[in-house]
Amino acid sequence: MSAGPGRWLLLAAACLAAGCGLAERKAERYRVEQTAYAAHKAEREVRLMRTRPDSTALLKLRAEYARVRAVSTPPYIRGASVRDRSVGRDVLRLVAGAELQSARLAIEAGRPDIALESSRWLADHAEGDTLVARQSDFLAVGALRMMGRQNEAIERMRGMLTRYPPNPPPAGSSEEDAILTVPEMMAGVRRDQGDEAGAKRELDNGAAYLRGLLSEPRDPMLEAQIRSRLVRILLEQNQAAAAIEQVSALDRLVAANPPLRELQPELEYSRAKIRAMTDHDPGEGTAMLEQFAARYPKHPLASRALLDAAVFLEDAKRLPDALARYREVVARYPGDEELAPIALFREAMLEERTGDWDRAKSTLESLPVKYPRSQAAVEAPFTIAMRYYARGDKDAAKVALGRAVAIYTDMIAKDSTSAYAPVCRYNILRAHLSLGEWDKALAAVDELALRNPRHPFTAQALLEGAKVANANHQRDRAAGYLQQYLEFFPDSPLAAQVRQQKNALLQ
Amino acid sequence: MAREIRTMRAAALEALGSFRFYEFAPFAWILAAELLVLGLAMNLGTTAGMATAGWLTERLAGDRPLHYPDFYRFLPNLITNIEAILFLVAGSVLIPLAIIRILRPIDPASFPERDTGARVRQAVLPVLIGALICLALIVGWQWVLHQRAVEGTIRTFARGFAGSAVVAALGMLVGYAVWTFFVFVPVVAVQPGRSPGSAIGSGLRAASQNFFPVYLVVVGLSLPAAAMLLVLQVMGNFLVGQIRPEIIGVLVGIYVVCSMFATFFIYAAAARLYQAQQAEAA
Repeated sequence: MSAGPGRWLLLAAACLAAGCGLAERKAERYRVEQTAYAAHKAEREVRLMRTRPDSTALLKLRAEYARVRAVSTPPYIRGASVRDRSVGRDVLRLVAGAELQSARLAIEAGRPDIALESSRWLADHAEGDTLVARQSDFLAVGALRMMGRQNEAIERMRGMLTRYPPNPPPAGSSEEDAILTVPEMMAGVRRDQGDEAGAKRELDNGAAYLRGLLSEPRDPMLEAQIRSRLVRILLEQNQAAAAIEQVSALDRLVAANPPLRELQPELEYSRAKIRAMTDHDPGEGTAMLEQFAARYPKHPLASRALLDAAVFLEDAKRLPDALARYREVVARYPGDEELAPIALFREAMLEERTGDWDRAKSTLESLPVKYPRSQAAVEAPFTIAMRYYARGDKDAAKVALGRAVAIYTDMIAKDSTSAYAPVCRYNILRAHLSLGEWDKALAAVDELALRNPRHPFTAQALLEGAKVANANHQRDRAAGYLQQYLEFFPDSPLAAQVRQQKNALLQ
Repeated sequence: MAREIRTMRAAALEALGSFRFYEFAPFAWILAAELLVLGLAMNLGTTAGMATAGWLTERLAGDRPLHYPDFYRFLPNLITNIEAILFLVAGSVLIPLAIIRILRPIDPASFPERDTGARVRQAVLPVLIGALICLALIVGWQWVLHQRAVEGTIRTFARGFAGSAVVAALGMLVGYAVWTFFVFVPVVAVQPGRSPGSAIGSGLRAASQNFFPVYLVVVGLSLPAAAMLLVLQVMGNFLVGQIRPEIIGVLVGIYVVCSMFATFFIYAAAARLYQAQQAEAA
């Protein structure tokens, strides 16, 4: 049977239609890229201006990124051919990337609620793409943390550990899967809440999770990364014997797999820290830590090695040596926002212990200026006042408390949504209570309840506020604080007792 | 030499002064095709743009340049490739046609109206072969120039922006020199009774006899297009990344128009020079 011209035309039309389908998808991808680029450019231009963009400007920029969603309509991964679906996946990831950017700006503008909405949208439109689903979860964790919903953030992270098995790094790369950092992040959240026991619990859970991962055969690089995380957690928990066991396993793994040789420095650090932890005299271990920092000054663990050496020396009462190491951490790694403030704080404490209070005071005063987004910066102003009290200089302590309130107010104004803002607000309350400024103390309680309703410090503040209000003959206000406590913390073990007190106040 | 330069200058000035759209029309067709591709390329976000300019881009370099704003980094390459193909294929017909239209008012007896079709057919093969050889030589030269040893040596004398400018300028100047050798091939190919072999041979001979004055005219008339190409080659990344990617499209458009007019005037000047020399010899 011969094919007539009609059939050939039909075949050509079908080919064209098939090609056009792919072209249409690629054109769509191009439009998404164009819109995302325009948003990126708009942001770059705003950032280049002299003044920092305020929240209104940030939300306008966010709207630019949010426009990307409107350029393409879901479902993104569609079409019959593999190429169609592959381009669709590109489109999905581009839209997700833009949505993440918009959420980032919302968070920067102090609107984590918008970021949380973005995360929900991403989860609803992930279309089975694990990368997008993970991004959505990480975004939700950040937004929840900013909203003070720390427990929900932790629960979300716990869910992520079960949902997303860690992936080995792509060929030729040693990039670690972010999911492996989640257990330590959970401990960090607990620590930010001032819940050390909770942090320890999360580390225990983290170690169990990592051990669980090791119960199955893994890609050597991934196994090394898991073991390396486990060693860090075990060292943090002071479990030297278990850490040694993991270091030995890691040693064997590195010996059997030459591409893992880049983990050698980390092994060296772990061995040095274990030595310092286990030896009666930590001299040799601290020397090994110092040698590590000298040999690999640019390694991410170099600053930690020096700080660890200083802490071991301090524990061994070798205070001048410890002080020198703390100063070295600050001098050599001023950009390490995690460890440099800790080193500076401990430096101040040692300066005071070695009799140099003036220097200690000026070191503490420098902390909120140098590292305003650190726990140490939050502790420093209050610590100055406490040290004055401890030295019996009450007048100076009162002046220091007044100054601390001013510093905290300034820190909150600069970054009202940081993880440390609730701590600053709580410290303002403590300062007013110490100064006997009851009205200001109650105003601080109101501020905490308004800004950080579910934060553990708010629970404490509401109970303090109720006491102060009652003592100042404001029974209704006291009852109101207790009512807020019951609303914000219904599962608290103190709930029954608080309800009783509230009822008593209202009678 | 001075006399040859004066003659070529006069031919170039006459070509510029006696512009007629009828003569330029064959080039205008090529220009229209290039501008159409450029227009489609500037609209890659539409299905039509992606199915045409996008398809061509994919044939040349795969999927990688089909992203915004990277596509604009590739756009000059796309257009110069399209330009080369158009000149090679459509140009084999349209350039002889334009030259016949230029020469008819000068020498009506040699270029009668009724012979136009036959004369174009006679010229197609030598013009195509000449263009192919010319293209191969220019591509070969660009390949040599961009070898690490050659480019590295140049960049040891001129670093950074200056180095890029020197490499680009050298690439263009030598490219124009190669092209100068083939400028007379279509002019000779449309002459009465020329076989393909003799058209190419005589064309090359005429070019080597008049090389320097013709080269000066080629470079002189191509300056606006060359300047635009230099900007695109040296500052392309900067324009895409820091200013606005679409600027590349506008500059490419200006380049295409300048380049087309320059090519037309160069052929017109070469045709006039050749015809004058033939008349003088007779």
